[in-house]
Amino acid sequence: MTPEATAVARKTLAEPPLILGHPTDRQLNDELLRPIFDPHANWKKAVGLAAAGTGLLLLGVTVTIARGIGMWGNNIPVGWGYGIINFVWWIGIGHAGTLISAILLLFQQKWRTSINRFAEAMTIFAVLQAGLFPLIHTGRPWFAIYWLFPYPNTMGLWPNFKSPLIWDVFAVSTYLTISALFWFIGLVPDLAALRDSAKSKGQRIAYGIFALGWKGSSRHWQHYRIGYLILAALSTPLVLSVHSIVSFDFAVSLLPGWHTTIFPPYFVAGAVFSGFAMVLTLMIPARKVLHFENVVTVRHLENMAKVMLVTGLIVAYGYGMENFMAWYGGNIYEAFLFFNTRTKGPLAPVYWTMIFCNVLVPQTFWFKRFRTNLAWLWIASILINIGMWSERFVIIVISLTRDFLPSSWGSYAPTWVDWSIYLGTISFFSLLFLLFLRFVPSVAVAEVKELNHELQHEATEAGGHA
Amino acid sequence: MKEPRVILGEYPTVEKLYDAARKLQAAGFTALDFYSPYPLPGSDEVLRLKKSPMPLIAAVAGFTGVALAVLMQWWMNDVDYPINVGNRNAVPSPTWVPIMFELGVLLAGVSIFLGLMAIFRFPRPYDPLFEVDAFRSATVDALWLSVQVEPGDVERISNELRQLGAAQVQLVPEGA
Repeated sequence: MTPEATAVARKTLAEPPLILGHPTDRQLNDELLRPIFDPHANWKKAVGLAAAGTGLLLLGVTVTIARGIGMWGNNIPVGWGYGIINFVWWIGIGHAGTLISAILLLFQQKWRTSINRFAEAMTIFAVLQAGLFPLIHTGRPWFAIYWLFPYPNTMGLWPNFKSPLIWDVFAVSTYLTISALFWFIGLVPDLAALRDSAKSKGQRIAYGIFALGWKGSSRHWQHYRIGYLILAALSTPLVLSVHSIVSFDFAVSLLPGWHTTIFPPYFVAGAVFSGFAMVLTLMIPARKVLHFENVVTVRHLENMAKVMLVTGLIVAYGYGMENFMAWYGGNIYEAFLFFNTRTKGPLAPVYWTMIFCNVLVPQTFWFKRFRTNLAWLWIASILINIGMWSERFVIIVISLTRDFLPSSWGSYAPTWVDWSIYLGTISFFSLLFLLFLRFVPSVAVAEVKELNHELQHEATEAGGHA
Repeated sequence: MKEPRVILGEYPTVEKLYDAARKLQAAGFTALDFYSPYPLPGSDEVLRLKKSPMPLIAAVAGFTGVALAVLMQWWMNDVDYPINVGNRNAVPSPTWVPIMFELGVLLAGVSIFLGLMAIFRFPRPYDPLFEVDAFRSATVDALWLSVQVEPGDVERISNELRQLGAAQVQLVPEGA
C-alpha cells in the first residue's frame, strides 16, 4: 500500500476517541463536578414528581400490610404474580452495573470508565427495589425473618438450606452488600476531590466526612488499587451466581415452562440485556442535561448497543432452545404450554410483545446507523425494558395459569395495589437516582483523569496528536 | 526531642517527582510519600513499598466464609433440626454449594473494605496536611511529594526541593 492509502485506512479503522477535546485535569474536574455545585434548574421539580410517585409505593405497601396479600391479584393457581415478576425484573436490571464496573474492568475495556459509576448506582438502587418485593410478599415481614435468616429463635427452627428461595436470600443480600462496598470504595477519591473543590465550608465538611480522610497518597493507592481489583474479581462470579440462583427458584420445580435446564445462562444473559437497556434509558437524557457529552460519547452508547445485540441474541437462542426442547422432549404438557397456551392462549399478547421487543428490536443494532441514532436507541431501550418485563410475566404467570389438569386452570389479573407498588418502585428508583445525580459525582472523576493521561500518553508515543 | 516536620513540594511532571524522590532517598530521607488525583504507575517501586497484604486478607476471610457456610448448614439442617429431603445423604450435600459461595464472597468483600480502613487508619476526616491550603490540588490536578525531616533540616531540604524542580514548597504547620 502507498503511504497515503495506509493513512486513509488507519483513519477509517481508528476508533473515535473516548474523551473529546483535550481537557486538562482541572477542566475535567470542574466539568464533571459541576452538577453538584451548580444544580440544574429543574432538579427540584423532578424530585417533587418522583417523591409524589413514591407515595404510590407507600400506599401500596401500607394497604398490603394492613389488609393482607388478598389485596394483590395472586390467587390459586397463579400464586406468584407481580411480586415475583417485579423482583426478577429489578434484580436483572441491576446486573448491567456489575458487568460494566467489574467484568469490563477485568477485561481492561477502557470505555467503561465514564459510565461505571452511573451503572453501579443503578445496580444498588435496582437491587433495593427488588428486595422490597419478597419482603412484602410474605405479608407479615416481621414474622417472616425466621425463615429468611438463620438466627436462634424461640421455636428452635432453622431455614431449610436445600431451598433455592433461601439461596436467593443469601445471594441477593450478598450482592447488595458487595455492590454497595464496591461503589463506595470507588467513590472515596472522588468525594475527596469534591471536598477539595468545595466552595463553602459546609460542603467541605460534609464531603470531608464521607471522603474519610483520603488524600491521594501513593502509599494508600497501592492497597486501594489491589483491593478494588479483588472486589471486581469477586463481583464477576457473584453477578453470574445471583441470577442463576434466581432462575433456580423456577428451574428446580416440575412445572412446564419452569422446569428447564437452560434457565441459569439464559436468565443471566437476559439480566445483562435488560440492565444495559436501563443504563441507556437513564444515560441518554442524563448526559444531555448534565452536559457530559465529552466523556460519555456516542462511541460509549454504541458499544452498549453492541452488548445488547449480543445478549439479545443469547436470549433469543434461549427462547429457541426452550421451544426446541418442548418439541424434541415429547412431553405433552410442555408442548401444550409452548405451542398453545403461550402462542394462542388468553395472555398470548404478552408473549408476542416479548418476542417483538426482545428478539426483533435488537436486530436493528446490526446497523451502525441505528446504533448511533440516539432517539432510536432510547426508544429501543424502553421497548427492551418492556420486553424483559413481559418475559418474566410469560414465564411466571402464563406457566401457572395452565398446568397439568384442565380442571385446575385459572387466570390472572393484577389489582390496583399491584400497579401502585410497581409504579411506586419505578418512582422510588427515579428519586434515588435524582438524589445521586445531585449529591454524588455521577462519573468516576479520578478514573477519567487517569484514562485521560493514558490516552494522551499513547498519543505522544504514537508521535503526534490523536 | 523536637517532633519531625513535614515538607510538601508540588511537581509539574511524574518524572520530576520521581527524580526528586530518588535524590532524597539517596540523601537518606526515606519517609517519603506522593499525592496524586489518580494512581501513579511505578510509584510502588520508587517508594520501595512492600507487597500489599490485601490478597492474603481477602483469601483468609473468603475461606473462613466457606467454612462457616459448611458448618452452619450441616449443624442447622443435619444436627440441631434434621430436615430429610428426598432421603439424600445429609453429608456432604451439593445443595450447600450456593451458600458456601455466597458467604465466601461476602466475607472476602467485607474484609477488603475493613482491611483498607484498618491499613489507612480511616475514617480520619482531619489530617495535618489539610492545613496547607495549596495541598487541596492533590486530589484535583497536582502531584505532590512529602518528606519528613528533623526541624533543623527544614530550610536546607526546602531549598533542595526547589532545586529539584518543585513549583512550590510548603511547610506543614507545627503541632497541627
